[in-house]
Amino acid sequence: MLLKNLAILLLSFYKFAISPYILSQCCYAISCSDYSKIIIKEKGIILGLLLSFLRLLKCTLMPIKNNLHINNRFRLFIFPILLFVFISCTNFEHQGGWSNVVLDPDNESFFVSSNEGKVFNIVTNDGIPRINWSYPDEGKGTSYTDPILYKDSVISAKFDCRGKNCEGEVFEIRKSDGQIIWVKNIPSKINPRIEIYNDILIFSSLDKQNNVEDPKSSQIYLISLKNDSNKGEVIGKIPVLGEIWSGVYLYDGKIFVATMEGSLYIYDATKLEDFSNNSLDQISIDAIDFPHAINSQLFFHENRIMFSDVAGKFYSASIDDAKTFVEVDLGNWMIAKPVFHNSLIYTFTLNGDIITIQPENFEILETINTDKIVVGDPKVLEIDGDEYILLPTEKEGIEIINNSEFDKGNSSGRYSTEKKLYSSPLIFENNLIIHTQESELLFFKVKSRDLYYCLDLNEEKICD
Amino acid sequence: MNIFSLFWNNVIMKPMINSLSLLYDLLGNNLGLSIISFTVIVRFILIPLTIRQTKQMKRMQDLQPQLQALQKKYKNKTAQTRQKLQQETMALYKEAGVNPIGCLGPLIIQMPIWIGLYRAILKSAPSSPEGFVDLSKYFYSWNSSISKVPFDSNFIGIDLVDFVQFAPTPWQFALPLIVGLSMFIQQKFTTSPSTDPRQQQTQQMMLWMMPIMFAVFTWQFPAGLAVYIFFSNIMGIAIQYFVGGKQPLMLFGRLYFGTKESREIYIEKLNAQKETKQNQLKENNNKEESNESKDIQRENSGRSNRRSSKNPKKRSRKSRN
Repeated sequence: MLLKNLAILLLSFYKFAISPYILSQCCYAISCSDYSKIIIKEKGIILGLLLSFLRLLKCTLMPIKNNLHINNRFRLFIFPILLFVFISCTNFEHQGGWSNVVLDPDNESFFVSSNEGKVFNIVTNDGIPRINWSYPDEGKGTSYTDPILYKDSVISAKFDCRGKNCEGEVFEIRKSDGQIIWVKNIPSKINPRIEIYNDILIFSSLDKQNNVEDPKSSQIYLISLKNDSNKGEVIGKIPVLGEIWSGVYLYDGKIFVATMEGSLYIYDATKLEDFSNNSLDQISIDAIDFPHAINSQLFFHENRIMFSDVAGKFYSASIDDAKTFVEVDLGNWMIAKPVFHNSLIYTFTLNGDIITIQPENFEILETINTDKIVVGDPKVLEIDGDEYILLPTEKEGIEIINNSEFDKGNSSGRYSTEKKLYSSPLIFENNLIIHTQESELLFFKVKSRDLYYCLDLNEEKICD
Repeated sequence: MNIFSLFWNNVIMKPMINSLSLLYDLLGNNLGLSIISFTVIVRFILIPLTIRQTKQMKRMQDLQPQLQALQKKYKNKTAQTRQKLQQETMALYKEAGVNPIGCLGPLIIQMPIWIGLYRAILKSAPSSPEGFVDLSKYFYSWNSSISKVPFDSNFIGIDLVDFVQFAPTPWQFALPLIVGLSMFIQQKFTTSPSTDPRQQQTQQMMLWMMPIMFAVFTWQFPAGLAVYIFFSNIMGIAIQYFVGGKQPLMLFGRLYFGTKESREIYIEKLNAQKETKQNQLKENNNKEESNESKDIQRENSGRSNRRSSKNPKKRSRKSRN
């Protein structure tokens, strides 16, 4: 019935908006579209479509009269206008919602940034967001940033774009009552990665800066968190050539940043405290150029830094000597964090390959194609002495792979979600909490894999 | 819906993004050149269709006098005469070998390409992390130009991925203008003077409204799409010119281009058009006069029909139908 009405509707639309453009005209007294409408109404969708198809065939095989009958001038414009609306509207997709769920060390609550950039504090016992504890009051914008726990407060970031003009916002909220301590506005998107070193908040712009003379330069921002008058103020900016998609990483007292111009910058975090724009040379340790843009996160494991680039190359280098690196070809982009397990590296590419790499000589041992796109970071889970690896796949929820089966890529079940998933799950006691891209929090029982609770953060109610 | 998106992605989006990136790689990392060469390729692929369509239109136009004669012959609007008129026009078309399939408007064929390119351009410069994840899905596994991501979208000072309205000052106005102008000239080339009043009307509408509408829409397009439409129109004009028998172009009452013969034919057609117009005017005037006299009669009899006397033009069109 629905199909029938839809077909009739489409035919009416064709007749009204498209057919004036086509110079051909039907050879019958009742035009083909009208005929199909009638026949579909009478004989049903299948027979109706068949009969109208036959008639169309007959019609088009015969020569046809050329005359534009336009009774109503307005009709001519409907089609282009609708087309225009269609192409301008197809661009709206959900953004954000990559935030991981972060558990408070006292285990009483956890924090998450919704896809609209609102930070929630949710009580672990009942899964209900704390009342009057959220910032900002109105969700407006996008967030990819995990909330970061720092002393007695929570720090996160969001941004809001109108066309290409973006306004970023970094803020600190008091954990006990949800009061905002400071807010800093940045004229660009903000990279999800935020680090804290010695009371200095370090983050970077995600995209190229607006209103900057060199359009390719991004900034690393340093914000003071010390309890003095300077708190929440930008104490320094490090300009970097190229967009930063990997984010800033802190490891072993050093800051690592990779850019889309293919450079890896290393700075000395210990010298940041008295940083002023003049002493950039002093804090800079190294800058290494790679042939392609670096779009993955940076990964650190046993004093080695690893990342991959847009050509699908996976690099590994020692922290102390990043200039001498080894590389291996993954063949596709890699976004998710690799799993370091049993002294092997498992990497996940966007075409669904799981590639096992030998860390010593950095060689590919095995490639399995699972056609599962892994974007969020995988986690290792232990149940009853068995180890499992949880793969957050983009479309089908979290795939559970038994560790002994890992080399084969065989799934032993899943926590399934209907919505897209770009974040990593939180495992807490017997619960597994997933934050989907449309900002629904799904609560699963770890063992039985049953979904027992779902909270829609944007609507602030239980999901339908 | 799923089937539709599968079809859309595999038949339009993937080939488009891959060919754009391959051309970008080949042409020294220049997105502007890659879009222009993409236009040239698409237009070359569409040449058979364009040729067919122009030939059809030409034949149709050649049939105009015969058609009008037929219409005059069956002036009465009864069901029988209508059917007869239809049958005879069909016979006429069959004789001339006019086929409807080649008659599809050039706009309709280009529509999916425009929509696809609009999305392909926006997708090829992801501005968000999910855009990045999405982009990798559109590349074929053999396409090594994926390593050139992110594409440098700067072209003669315009960011091709950004919307035209955000382009630097001369361009944000110049791009819609040249798109509209090229479209206008293309329309002008495609249409030749017609003696059929109804066709004249639509021709006039298409001639003016389409370019204006597209100029306005261009404001909302990524600059790369505006570049595509502009070069596509230029190519269209060139193809039209050589396929359509080097028709002259009439601008501001003057003839440009064209051969001696085609100009003469054009002028002949113009004269014919003028004549029919004058005849119509005369007819209308006559009718108006008769209407007015009728009105006067009605008024005299106490029933005034204001509408008809106020707007005689409308009345006359009705009577023509």
